[in-house]
Amino acid sequence: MSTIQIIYEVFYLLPLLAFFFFKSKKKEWAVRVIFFYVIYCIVQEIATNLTPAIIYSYLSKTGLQGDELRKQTMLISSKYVLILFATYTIIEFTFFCLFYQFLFPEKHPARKYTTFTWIGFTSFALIDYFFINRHQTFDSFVSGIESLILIVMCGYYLYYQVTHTMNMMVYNTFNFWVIVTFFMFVSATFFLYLLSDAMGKDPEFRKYYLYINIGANVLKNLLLAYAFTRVFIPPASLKKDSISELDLGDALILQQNN
Amino acid sequence: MTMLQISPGIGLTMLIVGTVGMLFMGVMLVLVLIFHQRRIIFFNKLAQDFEKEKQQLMLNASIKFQEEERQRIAADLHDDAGPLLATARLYLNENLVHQDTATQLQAIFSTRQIIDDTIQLIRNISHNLMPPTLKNFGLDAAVSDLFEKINNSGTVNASARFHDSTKRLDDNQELLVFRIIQELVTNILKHSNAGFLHLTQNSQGNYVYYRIHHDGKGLLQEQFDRMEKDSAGLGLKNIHSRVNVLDANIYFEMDNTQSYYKITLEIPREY
Repeated sequence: MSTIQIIYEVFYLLPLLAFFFFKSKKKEWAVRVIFFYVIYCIVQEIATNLTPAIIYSYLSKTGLQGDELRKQTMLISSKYVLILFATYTIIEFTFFCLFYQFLFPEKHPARKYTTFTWIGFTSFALIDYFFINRHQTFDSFVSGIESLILIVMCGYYLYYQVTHTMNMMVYNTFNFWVIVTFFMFVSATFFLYLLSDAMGKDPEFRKYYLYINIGANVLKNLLLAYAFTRVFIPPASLKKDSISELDLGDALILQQNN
Repeated sequence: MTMLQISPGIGLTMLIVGTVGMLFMGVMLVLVLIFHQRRIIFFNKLAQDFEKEKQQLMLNASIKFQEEERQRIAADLHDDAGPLLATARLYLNENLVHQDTATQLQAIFSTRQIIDDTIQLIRNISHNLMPPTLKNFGLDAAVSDLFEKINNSGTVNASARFHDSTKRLDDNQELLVFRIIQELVTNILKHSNAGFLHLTQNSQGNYVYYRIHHDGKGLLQEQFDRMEKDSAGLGLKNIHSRVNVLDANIYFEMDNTQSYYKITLEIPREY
């Protein structure tokens, strides 16, 4: 394992450390959702890294040796890794949609549309996985669609922030930094995942894939860690302060007259 | 689902340019949002400060107005009612029983005169606080009464005409409108040197209009707006705050013939 990869793996722990050390209203469900997402990312990373080793050890017990063992390990582990990647896309989207629900007040249309989008995208991803792609290749198309939906959703939230300005600076909130995290992560990996299926076998592309993927994940974990140092602001408190129009003198006159 | 069939050279260029472009776009979008929000918050804060300052001025004006009212009532009671009652007491001193009947009768008569004057004085003070005509007969009657009194003084030719009295305003609205008209008329009499004063009332849609015309030296809208913000314009501040409470509008202008100053008060029927 190279130094860059070790650093990359270590960065996965940063959001966890930030969650435990900083005040970010841990009891808020929105914060918990992101915490579980971080845990899931770590588990996914461990599973992806350990899969070849587990399969290698399993196959070696069946009597396979040498090149045949390595070939079979590669073949079977890539199949399992593809399953992990496919589930990762759906689960990541689910976590994001869950978090997104907490950013808007109750009965806001964005909540309803998020649910519909989640149902639509999950159905599409499952159909692609079981009937179209048949878990043979990297789910580039599904990842591309996921990235586009996430960019639109993040864009909408940022637009919502412009039109519903709080009296608090937006960059002091957990909400904003999580959205920025997803926005930057999907922006950085959009072309990478989109081209993975078509160019996955090109060695030059694989090199770039490694660097961009590492860079995007490091950036994601850094931003998430920073997000956990901020405070989550529930949508109910996004209301503006209002100043009473009533003058004291007239209020007194009205009161006395009543 | 295989989406793209692409040559490695173009694919790599697309990957690098696309990723850098998307990241750049993302960073720019976030920066634009942050700067935009900072700007909005800055202007909101300015507006809030301005609003607070205005509220403070209004509050000070109300308090000052109330204090002046109290002082006026105190002065009326002290300077007028006090001496009158003291004089009555002098007439009714303990030596009165030793006086002859004619002197006693004279003293009782004078005391009664003084008590009548005192009753009238207290009634005037009370009427100034809450005109009975307004309470019993409504705004139009109270305004008519006010204009009649001004006219009877002989210095100003004052008149009032009401074109639509079918539907009265709410009691609170009537009191506020009466105070506004009273303040406006007082200002005209005090500062404009007018010889003619006329009020018309009519309604259109959901609004009632009171228009005061006078031939003295009047105010125009920008002068009113400026003076109302001055710390000195106490009466104008009271007019402004009452107009705000009514959710009404007030316009200061010259009439079409350019010979009269015209003040229009536009009041919504329900607020």
